[in-house]
Amino acid sequence: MVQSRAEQAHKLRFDELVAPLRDDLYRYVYWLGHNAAVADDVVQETMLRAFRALDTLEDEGAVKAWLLTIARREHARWYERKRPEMRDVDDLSPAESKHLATEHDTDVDDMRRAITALDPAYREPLVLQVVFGLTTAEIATTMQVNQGTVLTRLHRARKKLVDIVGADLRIEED
Amino acid sequence: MIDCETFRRRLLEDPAASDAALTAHSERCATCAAFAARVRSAERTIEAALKFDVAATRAAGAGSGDSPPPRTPAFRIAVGGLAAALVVAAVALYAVLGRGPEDLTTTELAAAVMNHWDHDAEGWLPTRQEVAAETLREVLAGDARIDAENLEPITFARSCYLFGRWVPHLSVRGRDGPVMVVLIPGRRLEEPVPLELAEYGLAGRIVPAGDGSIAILGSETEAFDPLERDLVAAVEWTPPR
Repeated sequence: MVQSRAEQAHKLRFDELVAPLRDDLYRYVYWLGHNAAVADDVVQETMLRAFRALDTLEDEGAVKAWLLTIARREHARWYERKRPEMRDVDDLSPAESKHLATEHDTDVDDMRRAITALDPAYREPLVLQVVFGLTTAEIATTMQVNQGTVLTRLHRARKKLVDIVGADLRIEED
Repeated sequence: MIDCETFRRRLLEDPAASDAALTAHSERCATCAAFAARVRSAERTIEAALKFDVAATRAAGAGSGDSPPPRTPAFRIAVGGLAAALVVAAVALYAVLGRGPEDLTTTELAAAVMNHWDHDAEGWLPTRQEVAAETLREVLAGDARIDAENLEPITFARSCYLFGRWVPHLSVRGRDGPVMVVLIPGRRLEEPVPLELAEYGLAGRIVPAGDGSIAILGSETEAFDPLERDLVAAVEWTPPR
């Protein structure tokens, strides 16, 4: 099938702007629900919708936030349609949790379990900041909360996590 | 100038933060400087933990316990032999050959659809691959146009000989797996006609759609109402020449 020039330009724009974000998008969706198969489905749908709606993206500098907004919506829709059984990471057998474990770094392994155990409201801004490099303002827009809330959640998430690697920081509770 | 509490809070909010106030406090307070070093070290572990290997995780997830629930039996059955219901349908089918859909009774219409369900195994493959736009246009040519904007993805399209003529046979990605859709141009219906293949876990209906009708067959647990509504809204029949 011969594509028109407009179709080729559209595809090129998608390949340059959106396609490179796919892996980080998968990581984000995975950390939202801690389910690899759901992440697969949601990322697929997100990329499809992003491809179709690419013409609505006016500010290419906001492509990450734009894509994440689509992904959050698709993730919510997925759970509206289905109610999969959420499994605690401690219930996973070693074979099932092998993608959580790293061979040589138990600190990373421990950290993954700790991140999984975080309240989702604390985990999400952390993922957006660390994986996507979003600013506080961008996280606030994506999550539809104010910046103060984002800062509080980031603070509380890290306060729980920094202890995991063994440092006694004697951090005062709020 | 900032105090220790503010310094530590800001670092926990963003370990990469750096400005004159943070630098000045770090130079003045050895305890906070040590705190900063530990937070930044922990941040490297946090980053490594969050940025896992996607390919490895997807591969592990495909065969692991956190896969989605198994699909309904319709997509795990072994196709072999005809159930009694299909034998009856096959006999009925002989009666409809050579006649158009507008000549068939609703029972014959339903029998033709149900008899066809396993003729295109490819249409039942749970796939995310959408059918090429050109293929869809060719299959629909002369019968209908589809506005797929608000429709679930179409994953299969083929012209099939049913009801004494070639008709579009599509698969749409439903909530619970592939859904077989057969467009029946020119066959008006007053009310829906039920379809049931209980031994294969399949069910559906042939629904009225203006100047034609649409047969929809999928897993018996499928959410048919929104699918039917969207399909009827999406299909526009091509006027006969």
